[in-house]
Amino acid sequence: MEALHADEEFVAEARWFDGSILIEAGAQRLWLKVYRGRVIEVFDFIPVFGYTFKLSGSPEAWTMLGTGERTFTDLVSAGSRYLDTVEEIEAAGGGYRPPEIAIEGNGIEAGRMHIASMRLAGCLARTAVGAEAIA
Amino acid sequence: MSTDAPITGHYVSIDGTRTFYDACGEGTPVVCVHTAGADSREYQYLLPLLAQRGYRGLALDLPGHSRSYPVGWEPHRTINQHAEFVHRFAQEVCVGSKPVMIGCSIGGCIAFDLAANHSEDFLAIVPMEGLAWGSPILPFPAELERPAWSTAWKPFLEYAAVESLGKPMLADPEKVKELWWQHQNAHQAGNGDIQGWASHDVRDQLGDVRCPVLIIKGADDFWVPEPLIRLSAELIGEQAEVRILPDIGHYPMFEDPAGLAELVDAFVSSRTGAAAAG
Repeated sequence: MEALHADEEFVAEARWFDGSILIEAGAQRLWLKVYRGRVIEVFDFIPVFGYTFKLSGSPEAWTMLGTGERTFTDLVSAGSRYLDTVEEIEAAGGGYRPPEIAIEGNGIEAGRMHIASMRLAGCLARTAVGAEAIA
Repeated sequence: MSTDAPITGHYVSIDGTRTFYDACGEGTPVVCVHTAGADSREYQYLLPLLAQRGYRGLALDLPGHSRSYPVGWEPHRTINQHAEFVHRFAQEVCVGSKPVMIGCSIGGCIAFDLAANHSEDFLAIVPMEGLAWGSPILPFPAELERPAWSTAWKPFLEYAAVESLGKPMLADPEKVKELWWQHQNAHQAGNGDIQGWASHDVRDQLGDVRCPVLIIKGADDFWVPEPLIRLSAELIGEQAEVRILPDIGHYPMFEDPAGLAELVDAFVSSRTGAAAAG
């Protein structure tokens, strides 16, 4: 969390947030209580009161974020962009193909925290890739 | 030719709407159209380089963007609305001379729309990071049109813009911040632009394009899949050429203005025989 708390952009964006963010990478979970720009508690399970919103994706998606292969905006955007043929692009939802990393839960709060979520996700993904912690 | 031609700001009335444009240089006009939620500043580095090569660089703010008022106080929500407006702008501002048209992202889609409907009125058309068909790339965002409906729309659109830079420029915080500041436009304008992108489709209207078309894609741009670029070119046929630019993302005019000026000048000169009056 040191790297996150050193990120001025995250601290400023989360300054007036009081809630919890769940991060899911496959079956791995990280629940973060965020208050006044800081993470004040961390669990590897979801407590009984749930979460305000969550970011969920496959380990492969988080690895792409952590290595810089793809950006946060790319990963959280619906639509068909990474396929070899026009037929593939048309299939499986086209413009509504689900994003690699989904943002779910309280959309208003997630919206308020969009940039903070981007900084948080990037920081966690880079740390996890460095520590080889994404299963 | 001088290398320090000044960019001057102008207003013109199009559809009864006060419309802003930058102008630089003298010669064959080149009408430049910006990306979603942005404005003419994206072309500030390209315009003097076009002027240096003997062109009259023109870059407008689309209706509802930056210094141009929306038409009838409503945002455009289709690419065709934007394209018809650009066509009328070109006819008003480029009297007596067929212009080259360059557009990026939604400007690229506008370029395809102009190729489909008004190609006889242009010397050449250059779609960058645009397609004949935009629907598979993103969902239709009308449900997010009002700011109150989506608190994330503004940051999403801003970072959708800057994160699609080429990797070399994405590593330069100063340039990322500059591009970010170029996307400080009205929520409704940017949303209307993306509605236009998502619903745009002129695939069935590109069989009779009457001017050369240079289709440009930055290799690092994740928004525009290469198969759709190739398909868009195939639909135009012999009039179309495709260029994939290494290490460039979604903004060729911002990321490599000198390379783009050279590319466009060479294309126009070779394909039209109309070297700029330099």
